[in-house]
Amino acid sequence: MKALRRILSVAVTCALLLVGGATSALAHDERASTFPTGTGTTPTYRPYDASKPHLVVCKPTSAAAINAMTDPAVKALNKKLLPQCAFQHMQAAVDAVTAQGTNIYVLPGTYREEPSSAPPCTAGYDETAVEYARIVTCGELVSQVTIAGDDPNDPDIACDNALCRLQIEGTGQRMEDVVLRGGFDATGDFVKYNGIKADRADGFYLRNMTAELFADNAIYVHETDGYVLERVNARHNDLYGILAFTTDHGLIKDCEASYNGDSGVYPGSQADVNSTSTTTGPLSRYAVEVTGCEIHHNALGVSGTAGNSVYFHDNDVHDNAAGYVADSFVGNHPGMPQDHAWITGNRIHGNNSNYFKEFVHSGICDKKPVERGYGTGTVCPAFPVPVGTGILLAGGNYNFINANLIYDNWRAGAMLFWVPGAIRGDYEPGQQYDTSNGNHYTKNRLGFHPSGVTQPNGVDFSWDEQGVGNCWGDNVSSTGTVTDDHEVIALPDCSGSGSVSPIGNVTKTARNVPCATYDRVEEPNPVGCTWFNSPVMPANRENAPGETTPVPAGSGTTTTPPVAKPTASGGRLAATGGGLLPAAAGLVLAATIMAVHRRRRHA
Amino acid sequence: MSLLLDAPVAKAAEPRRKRSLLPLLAAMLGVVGLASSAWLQAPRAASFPEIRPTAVGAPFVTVPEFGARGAHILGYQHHARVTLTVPVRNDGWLPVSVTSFTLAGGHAPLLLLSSAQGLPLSLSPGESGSLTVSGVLTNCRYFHMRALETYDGAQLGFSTLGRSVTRTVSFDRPLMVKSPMLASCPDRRIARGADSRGVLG
Repeated sequence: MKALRRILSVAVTCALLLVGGATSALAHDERASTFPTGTGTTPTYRPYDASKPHLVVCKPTSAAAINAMTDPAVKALNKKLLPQCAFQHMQAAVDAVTAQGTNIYVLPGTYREEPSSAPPCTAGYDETAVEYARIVTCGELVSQVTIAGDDPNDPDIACDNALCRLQIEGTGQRMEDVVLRGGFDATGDFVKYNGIKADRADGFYLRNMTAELFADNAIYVHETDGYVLERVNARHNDLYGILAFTTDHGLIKDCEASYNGDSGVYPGSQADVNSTSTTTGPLSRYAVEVTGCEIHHNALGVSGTAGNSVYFHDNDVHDNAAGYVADSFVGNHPGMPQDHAWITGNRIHGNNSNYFKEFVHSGICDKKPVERGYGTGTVCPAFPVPVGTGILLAGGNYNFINANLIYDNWRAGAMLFWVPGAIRGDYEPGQQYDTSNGNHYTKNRLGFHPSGVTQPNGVDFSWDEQGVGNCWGDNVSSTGTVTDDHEVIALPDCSGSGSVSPIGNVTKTARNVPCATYDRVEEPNPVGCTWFNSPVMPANRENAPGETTPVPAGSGTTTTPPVAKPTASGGRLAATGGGLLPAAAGLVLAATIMAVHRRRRHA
Repeated sequence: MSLLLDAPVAKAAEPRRKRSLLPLLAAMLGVVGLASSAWLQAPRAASFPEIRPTAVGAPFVTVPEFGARGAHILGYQHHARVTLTVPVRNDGWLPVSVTSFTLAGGHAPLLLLSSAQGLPLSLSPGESGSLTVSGVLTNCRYFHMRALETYDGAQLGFSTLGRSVTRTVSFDRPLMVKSPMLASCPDRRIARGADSRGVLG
């Protein structure tokens, strides 16, 4: 059986599938979910007004922190709020809300939400999927802080209780002054899957705080129509920093997300508001806007399975293993296949951190979570990506990648490839080639550092030569000519109708497929996968002023890809030799006997 | 002094030498050796072309361009019973009798076979036949949501000239089973590593 297992190569993937491609972008395990109706609106910030309903949360350390504040206006507000403090835990304040449109102010301090650790309702939880009704009665099963806005007894998912339009705001000078921290339990595992989860909580507004050290998501918005996450820092989580799933009318701005094992920011299964459109490019309606964020040192900076209608602009995405990833790789994600992201005005650079090698292949990620070094830079990638890639579209349609600064990504500035429908759970034969169409890459500046020095990408564009209507136009490269990796079909220009090849370059697809077997636990280093090789720094790279030559994580030495072991020839020869042995022995013996016989005759 | 010459003496007839059995023994040994070799080598004479499986009971589609050889992709539906039709052709010059059909998959395969109809399948040289193999889609709890389990081939047990062996026969394209998300895998736990296949063996 062992030999059989070897020979049959049972491979466990992730997604990639990126194969065509993996393991993730990415996705997450959740109950069956649906889009909200889309009739909501993005909430606006409500400043402090003593006459409006509000609650105040604080810690014993808050007073000292307030006294140390240097910003007079912030200090004054905090001094006004401190006497009103009635809660020591955020969840206690949430549970006390009686009117829609309430503001909760969280004064400086670190919040561990101890009452959420193991309340009686969590006894016997088998860690399977948690349906919404149970989230209402016992959100502590998975989250430290739960905002559940819908009555589970009605048929819709719209927010209809006192938690609608809830605003939770940290009152520190910096977003790091209020910290929601998970951390680890006595067994060394994470204490909670999620930090704060807004579930069917239309109008939710979260502002000015940090969430860290959770097993799944630090900040999670689910089945919600209308939300804002502003000035939040999500870091050091095993999977996602900020995750929005089956949501609409979202705004994520001025955030920071770092050191997350899947993605810093994940706008996945976003309301598919442009699903019927065949227009690429600026549209009038997006499901979520992400802007002003610094997203760095994650396995994936941004990702989204079915990351539909994401308006991603003016962000700084750097030092991840891969920068921005959108995919159609995982089933049970409403809104497949992925479509209509608009990625513009961003800096996407230096995404060369090889966390696969540094932390997975080294065995660090095999340790108990508490021993891995989360919080000090450890990132355990949950999903495979080609290290050194700026933007990866794995099975997306009508995405518009326009006017970005894309530089210093040592494998590829941007990569595009096809994923067949079956990989996302669509088995209709006619749906197998319905991805990677209509994507446009225009007016991007490639290989130029903002300071003016040259920092080329490995290649500017990588494409599997598949799809209809894909095009590249008016891009400018520091190498003089835009570089790509085409083998048969050159990048079509956008002056025409774009690519016309529903069938791609099978050789390129085949190169990606082995990487789909990546599994952080079961298959951390798939045979034949080259994605986890640290890409070589491109020639002619110049250091920016004040910069030293970068040494990305995990790039200390060249990774030698695993080589498929040839079938042991010794075994085969042994079998053959064994079969011929009787004949050979018999013939040799017969020849010997005859020789003896002849000698005796002639003696 | 006379010179006496010895008179020629008639040579006494030698006793008839007993005919040696050694050549016969040698010939017999050679024949036996050759026969033994032929018997031992008989399975090597058997030849099976690549198997092209089809499946019912769960979604199934073939994508020729997905991977170096394309792929047959089977959709996971929890505890669905799947029937694989497995055509087998004997391309060798000896008759064979197919006696077993197995897939790999480690300790907890997504496709767990339970029975095979049509066994033993006797095939003369050049003859084709078919097996009907049943199984159940299960064990998703041991796979993460993005996993893809790939079977590159099957192991056929067969006999020829009374000698039984097993051989791995490739599928024409890998058979892939896509692991589902949590929503379609009711017994999966959300704790990563809680149900590692690595601890099963």
